Amino acid sequence: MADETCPHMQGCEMYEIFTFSETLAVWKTRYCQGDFKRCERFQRSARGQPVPVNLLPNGHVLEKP
Amino acid sequence: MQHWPWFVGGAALAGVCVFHWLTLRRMLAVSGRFTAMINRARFGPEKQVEMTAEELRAAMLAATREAFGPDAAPDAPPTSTKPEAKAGPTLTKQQSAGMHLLFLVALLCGGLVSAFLAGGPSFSGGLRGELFNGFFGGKASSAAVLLFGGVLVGFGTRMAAGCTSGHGLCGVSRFQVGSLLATMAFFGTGVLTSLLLRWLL
Amino acid sequence: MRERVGVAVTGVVFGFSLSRIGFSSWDEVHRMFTFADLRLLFTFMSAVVFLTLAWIAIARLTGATWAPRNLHPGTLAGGALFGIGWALSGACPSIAMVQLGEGQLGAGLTLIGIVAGNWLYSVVHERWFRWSAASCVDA
Repeated sequence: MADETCPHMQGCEMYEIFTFSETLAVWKTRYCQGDFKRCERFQRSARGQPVPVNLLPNGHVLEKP
Repeated sequence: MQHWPWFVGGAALAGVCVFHWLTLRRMLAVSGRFTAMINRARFGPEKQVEMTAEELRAAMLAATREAFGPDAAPDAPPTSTKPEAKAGPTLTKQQSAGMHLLFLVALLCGGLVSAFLAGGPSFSGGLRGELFNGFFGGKASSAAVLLFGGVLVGFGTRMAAGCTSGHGLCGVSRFQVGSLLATMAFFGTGVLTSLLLRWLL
Repeated sequence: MRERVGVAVTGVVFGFSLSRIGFSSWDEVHRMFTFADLRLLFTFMSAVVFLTLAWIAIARLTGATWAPRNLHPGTLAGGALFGIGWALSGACPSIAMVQLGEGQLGAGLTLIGIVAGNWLYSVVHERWFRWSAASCVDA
């Protein structure tokens, strides 16, 4: 029985990035289509706050390699 | 001032939007600039990171392995086979508050130049226009109308995530459903309100 | 630098055009909304037609594509409120700046209202709406 999917998926830059590459699908399974309430991006968006484009669901901030 | 015929105006507005996209790779949108500046005031500046497709791929792979373990992200090619899309998404910078302010000041200058070329500018309190002043009379009432109208504009454009340029021009011309609906909504109530004003005042 | 030039030139030409078309005149906008004078309406519609063609041409020449944006929950209500405000103040966010530049100082009040309204929405959204907030400024 799957959880609901994240209501803030559409327009989420990270979701687009996860969709682009098969390799990153694990993020979708864990957060977007799973336990989205634990996603740092969702929490901020739900509070109406701007979501930094490089913020990952687990709170990690993506930096240049 | 002689106003432009409709097709000249139409061409000018379209030209501006196209120029904006060609130079900035962004759609012309104004209410969003206000939103960005208000967000900056409320929440502080956002830390900016720019990444090319390559850098983003590498950073994402590293982050995925860190989060889910080394086996979680085997090196796989991108799913899309379209040549342009193979590169992948990138991280682009949001525009700074300074840019937004520059745009708004530029708008003001555009008005200034226009008035200057027409022999002005002349400064008047309130707004110019027989109809406007006819409807709303004195200083206090016209001030109240402008303030209240402004609040509705600010509130409504942020709620709809767009205004006449973002939704009306750029959205509708690209057949965005949301923009079509928004444009119909604001034209609809614009018409109703104006007819109501005529009827009541 | 290129960004600054693009932004500044667009702003000035856009503002100038809005003024010359007549969008910064409360009376002209009112006439448009009451269908007394359709010039502004035709201007807007022809701009949309020209733009539609332009985007098609650009897509062909550069291969650019635009993802469809999903329907934003506040679209209809927000649009409706905006329309009322536009009819009352004669302005949308860009027009208020142009009016100010032309010397119509009342637009300053409109602008104060716009900033206040935008801020107010931000607070209201945080407290009550909380749907996905999309900005019309493309990233």
